[in-house]
Amino acid sequence: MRSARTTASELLRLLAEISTPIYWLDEQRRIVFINRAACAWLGVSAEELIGRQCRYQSGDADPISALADSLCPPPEVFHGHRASGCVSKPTAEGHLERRHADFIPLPGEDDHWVGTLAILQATNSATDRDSSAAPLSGDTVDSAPSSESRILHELLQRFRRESTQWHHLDRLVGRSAAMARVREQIKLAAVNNCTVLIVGPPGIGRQHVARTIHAVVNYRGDIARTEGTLNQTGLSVISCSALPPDLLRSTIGSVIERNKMSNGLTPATLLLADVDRLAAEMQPEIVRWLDSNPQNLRTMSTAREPLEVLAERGSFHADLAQRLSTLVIELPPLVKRREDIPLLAQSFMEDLNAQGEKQLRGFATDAMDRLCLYDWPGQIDELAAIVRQAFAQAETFEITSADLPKKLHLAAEAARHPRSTPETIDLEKFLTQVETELIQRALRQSKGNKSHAARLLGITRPRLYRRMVQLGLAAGEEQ
Amino acid sequence: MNDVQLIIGESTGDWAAELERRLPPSVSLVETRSLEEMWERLHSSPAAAIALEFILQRAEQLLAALVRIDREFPQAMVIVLAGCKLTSWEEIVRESGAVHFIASPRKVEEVVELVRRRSIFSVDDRLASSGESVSLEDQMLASLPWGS
Repeated sequence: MRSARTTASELLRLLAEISTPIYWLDEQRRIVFINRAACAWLGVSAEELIGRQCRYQSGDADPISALADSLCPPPEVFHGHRASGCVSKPTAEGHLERRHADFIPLPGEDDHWVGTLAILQATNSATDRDSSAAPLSGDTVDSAPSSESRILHELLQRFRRESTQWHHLDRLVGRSAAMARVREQIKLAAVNNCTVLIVGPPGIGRQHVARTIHAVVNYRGDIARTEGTLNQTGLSVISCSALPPDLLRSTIGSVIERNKMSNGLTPATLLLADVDRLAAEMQPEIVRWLDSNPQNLRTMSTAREPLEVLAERGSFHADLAQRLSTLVIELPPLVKRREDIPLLAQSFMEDLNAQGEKQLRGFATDAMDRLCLYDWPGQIDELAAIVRQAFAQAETFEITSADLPKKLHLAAEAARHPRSTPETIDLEKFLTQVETELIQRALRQSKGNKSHAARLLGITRPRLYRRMVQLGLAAGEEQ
Repeated sequence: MNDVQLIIGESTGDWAAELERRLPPSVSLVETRSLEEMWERLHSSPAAAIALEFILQRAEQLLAALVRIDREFPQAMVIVLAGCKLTSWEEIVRESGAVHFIASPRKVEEVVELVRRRSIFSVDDRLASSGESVSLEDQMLASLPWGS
């Protein structure tokens, strides 16, 4: 009679050799067995995966940890429920290739869960191939047999993967000294969990820099050649200009709640966009929150001007300015670094080449001269928009000056012939317009109550009424 | 002064009907029934506010649209409108570039408030980022207190 050990090793040999990909997780969600077929599909050796823990989360660490995470069953399996779903592996093109999988939870003698057996479909079905290989670019979700949470999980994985690629440090092009400094500061920000303030005019790419820092954090291994980073989180952007105080409060609250649910192991990043427009009443609240910040959320913010300059002027809370400005990254306007324009324009054009059939070589000399002469008040966003427009317009293998919008030609002309007559202003008319507008606003603010409106304007009620009559704002009203 | 365009992308017209009653006259409402129609509108008003209905069956398309808006129309502001059962999508929707996620038709006032704030900041933003010329009058009026 053969021993139990011999039988077990034969079973393992059989499982290792079958053509159906399978793997086994223990109660700690560690991979304890994976057969040859599964390794062949994943393109790694069993030794690389054995002992790795699978986590049901969406992010990117070193490639092998990310691969182990992509094998994680839906969490209901850990509660003893058999489930079907998909496992995925990244392809060389950066997409995900998926296979249908059955996950079988295995209870021990006392019904205590001891592990999970995962059986993968031997080959890709047509359905799996359709939705798995597509980047996040427009195909509909193949919902069956996945649950809503599974779809969400997979989309989040793909979104974060693509976002990290899009915001790779190498994509911050520019040969100016200012941009070289920005790239160094980004690396510094990524290795220090300090507050970061990104300052620059609207359209210069402040959020892009914030997302790049976030991407560098997620891929810290690539930069510092270290492994094992656990920063695999989302970036929550809170628009301080768009959201009124109550919504700001509740949105920050929900980010903190979500972070709590991840047990604080993977702290999220909070980006306070346009923080210089944060309502005054909210500023002390943010100071208190930053002081406590129990979950160690990474905090970044963007502003048009350095907050400490605003604080000196008295238009921003000094403590908050100081707390948000540990590392200040300044993005100078394009007009101050014209040497970056050719590289940026070429980079935007090559992005467009990558998206479709049309392929252009670059810019004709006269077109590039026009781009470099223009002042770009809308900064990089305006440059990107104009390159898109010219790309669509171009009929040859390169963008010529004829493909550029008229305003660039006018700007070049204006630079050659500066205006000689100064702009005039009708002071009386303008002051009347301002007074009318202020009175109307005060009346709206006070919901039509003239005494209250007069107080807001710092004048008496009779004087307000007289001005309303004179300005034609009191038609049909009695004092 | 400070006119804002609100482009609504939804399948039924329910949100648009509700918003039309509550938005201030300075906001022009444009209804669209498909993403293609929305892109057309957005090309002519790249700094518009957009209210986009989120439906589970089209989740991937809508997320891709949010990413595209964020990259190609950075001056636009997107609010995502969803049903109350879709709250779990808030995180990815916000990460994709939406400034706000509303998971209940009862919160239509939040859209109104966001669009109203948008109109307050619009002159300042136009001045700073679009390259359009904004008159001195508009600049000064935009800096006056108590909103618009």
